Amino acid sequence: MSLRNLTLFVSLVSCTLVLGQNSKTALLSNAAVHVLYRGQDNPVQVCVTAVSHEALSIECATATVRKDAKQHLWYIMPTDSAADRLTLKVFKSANGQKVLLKEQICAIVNPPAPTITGLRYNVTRTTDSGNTSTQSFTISDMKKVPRKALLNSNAELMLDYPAETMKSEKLTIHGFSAQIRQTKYECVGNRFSEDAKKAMTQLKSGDVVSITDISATDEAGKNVPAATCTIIIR
Amino acid sequence: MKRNTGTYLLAIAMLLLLAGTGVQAQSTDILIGNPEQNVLYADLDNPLLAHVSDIADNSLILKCDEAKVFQRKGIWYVHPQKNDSTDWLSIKIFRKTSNGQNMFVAKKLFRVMKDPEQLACIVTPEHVYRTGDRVPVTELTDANTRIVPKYPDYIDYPETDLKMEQFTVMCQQKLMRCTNDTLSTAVKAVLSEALNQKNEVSLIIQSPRIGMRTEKSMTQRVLQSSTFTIVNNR
Repeated sequence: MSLRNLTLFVSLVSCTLVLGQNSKTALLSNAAVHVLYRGQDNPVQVCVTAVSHEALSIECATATVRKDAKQHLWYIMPTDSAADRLTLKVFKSANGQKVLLKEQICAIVNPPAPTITGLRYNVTRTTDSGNTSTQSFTISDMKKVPRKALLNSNAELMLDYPAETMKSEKLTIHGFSAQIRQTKYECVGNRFSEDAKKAMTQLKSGDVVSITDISATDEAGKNVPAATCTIIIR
Repeated sequence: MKRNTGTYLLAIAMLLLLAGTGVQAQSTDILIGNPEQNVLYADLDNPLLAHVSDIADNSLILKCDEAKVFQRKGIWYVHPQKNDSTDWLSIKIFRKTSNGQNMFVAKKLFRVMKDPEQLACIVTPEHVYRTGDRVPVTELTDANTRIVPKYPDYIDYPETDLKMEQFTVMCQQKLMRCTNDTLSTAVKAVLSEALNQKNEVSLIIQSPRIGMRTEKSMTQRVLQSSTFTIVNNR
């Protein structure tokens, strides 16, 4: 297998995989959403019809801007840690002059860290005629979770990145701790253990279940550190 | 003839002046994207920015099994349907080869979210004011000022399919119903009276109901409230 074929093969695995020298990098992004992560060097693609990449430049008063000409990328590092917006200015150079093409407002959000984003459970009902039907429910507001939903026999915690980070991944929970009234219960997979459920039967509206020590991996099997979560009983 | 030549010269001079100071290309021709993110919105045309090192951008073809992918004015778009069962989709990048075949290069997984939340904004001939902003009363009461549903400022989807149908204004502890996208004369009268005594008053746009045109139908939605401070600048 030639080096070229090898690099092409590896690039199939990930769109943003870079392989040393002579590497082939594939980049794909949604050009309608402009979100940057606080404290990080954010890769940004820019494409202007009929203008070469070499003629383009980006400036920003509240970020450091670095151009990677080879990869057709810019790296934007926000410098104002308190700001929630910045404006990128895209210029083109023509005949020794710089012309402003576009001003783009970007949101600055905290870097993506997976957290519990919901609780999914099924309810099976039997009709008068004896037929059964199963309906799936998802609770996404962890501050208002009915106790009945937590006690459901197939209630599962869902793990993902917060919606505002515009990043998502299929993540697997291998285990977690549920702290209920001073006692920690070890749970396997994404479901509460029977002991934890028994403790939760005593909970009242406003009581709290803390989900900590979440062990999770991404699709590639890599460990992903997840943020702790507080569930409040409705 | 002399007068016509003068008019033409004036028009050319105006065009040159605009070209020197204003935005050169239309915003749809300038694409900016962050390849670290992977969120698309359902029922919207999501513009895509694809780049593969060592391959010309116009040799790339994008395909997706779960959603419609198409090209308009040289820009690729994906239009995911609002369907809970397909909340993930994979976009594949191919390269057009000289023998007319498409060679697979890379793929990227995207999460499909429901459309981004809109908020009622005050759009005057000069500015777009968003919730939390201070608005001069002379701009608010301008005959051309409209109350318009808009996506957040960092999101670039067209808003032509969003239409304000009705909203309620809370000002000086009075609730006033407004239809379409304009402030009623009652609201303007209350504001005028209040600003005779104070330098600024609070104005809340409550329960704005909007219509959203999608490919298949027109749906209605009630948005969250927007709060503004109206400043006396008379």
